[in-house]
Amino acid sequence: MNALSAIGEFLYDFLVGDSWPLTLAMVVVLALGVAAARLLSAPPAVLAVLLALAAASAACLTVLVEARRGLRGR
Amino acid sequence: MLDANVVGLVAAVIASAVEVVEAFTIVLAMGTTRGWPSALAGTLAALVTLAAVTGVAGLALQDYLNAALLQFVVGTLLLVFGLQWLRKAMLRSAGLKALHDEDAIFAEELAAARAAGSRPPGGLDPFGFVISFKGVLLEGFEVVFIVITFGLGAAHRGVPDAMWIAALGALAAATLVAAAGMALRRPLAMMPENTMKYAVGLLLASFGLFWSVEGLGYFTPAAESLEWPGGTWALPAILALWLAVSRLTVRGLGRIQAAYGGARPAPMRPEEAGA
Repeated sequence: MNALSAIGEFLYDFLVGDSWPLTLAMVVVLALGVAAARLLSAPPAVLAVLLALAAASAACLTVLVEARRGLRGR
Repeated sequence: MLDANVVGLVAAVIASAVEVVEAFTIVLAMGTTRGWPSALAGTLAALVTLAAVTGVAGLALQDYLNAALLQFVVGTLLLVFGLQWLRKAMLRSAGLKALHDEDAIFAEELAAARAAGSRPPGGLDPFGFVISFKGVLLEGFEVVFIVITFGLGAAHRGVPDAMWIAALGALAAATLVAAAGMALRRPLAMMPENTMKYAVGLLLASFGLFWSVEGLGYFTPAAESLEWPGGTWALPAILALWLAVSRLTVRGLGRIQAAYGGARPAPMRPEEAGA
């Protein structure tokens, strides 16, 4: 059991790292992309550009919000 | 047409150089204090494990996943992984996280090795072997991950040997950096590690976004990759977007820091020594 939890911990650290909100933000953006690709008939170029802007904005906001929360807690 | 494989190879080489600097610090500390046979045996065992993982995981994924789905999975993993590197680089640029200091880490590793007691007579020293093995394996996994994902992404674009090219590039960079370190016999603290990590973070996030969006085509009725406007020329545009966003974020972090009384970064813990 210890070995299993150590492997799980390693995989979590490896993929999610120090910031789970950043990972969650990207998963949400890509999930919205999957929904849009399935349900809408938007041109691929428009979908691609919108997703790029959404991912960049989400990453920027998440890092700023996390940092503010961290500094406020000190 | 822009050769995305060359850019991917560059990312694998830089990432490999950065990780080898970190792994070398650990191996050097073990070699100096616990003896070189144990440190080198641990390093060799880790390299064999990493080579096996690259071969097995890379080939298995390449053969058994639909191309568009593979792009989506690989792209998502690269995006998430690259943004973790980029986030740390941004925090370091803004002064909210301590810079990586190989000399300090080397001193910590030396102290830990000396505190572990005397070496057993004859044979390999288990402490030196295990710490070297673990250090090289953990740092190496990040390189293997990058090599596999770039290799798979390039293979989808009709370059079946891309994984081996990326692996050889990473191995060459690793050999060069390790040789330089062995010649100097001290931690490679002069390498611009933090800048290199920033560059790798930008490249990984760019490729991740590029491939994950292309892979979204798997979920359309045609189940084929989506095309970015401009094809692979969208890559430099995405890279520019991440660079601009990261600089804006660093500026925003500076303002937040000023608003909270210019708080300084906490000292780096050993477990934070990674990317």
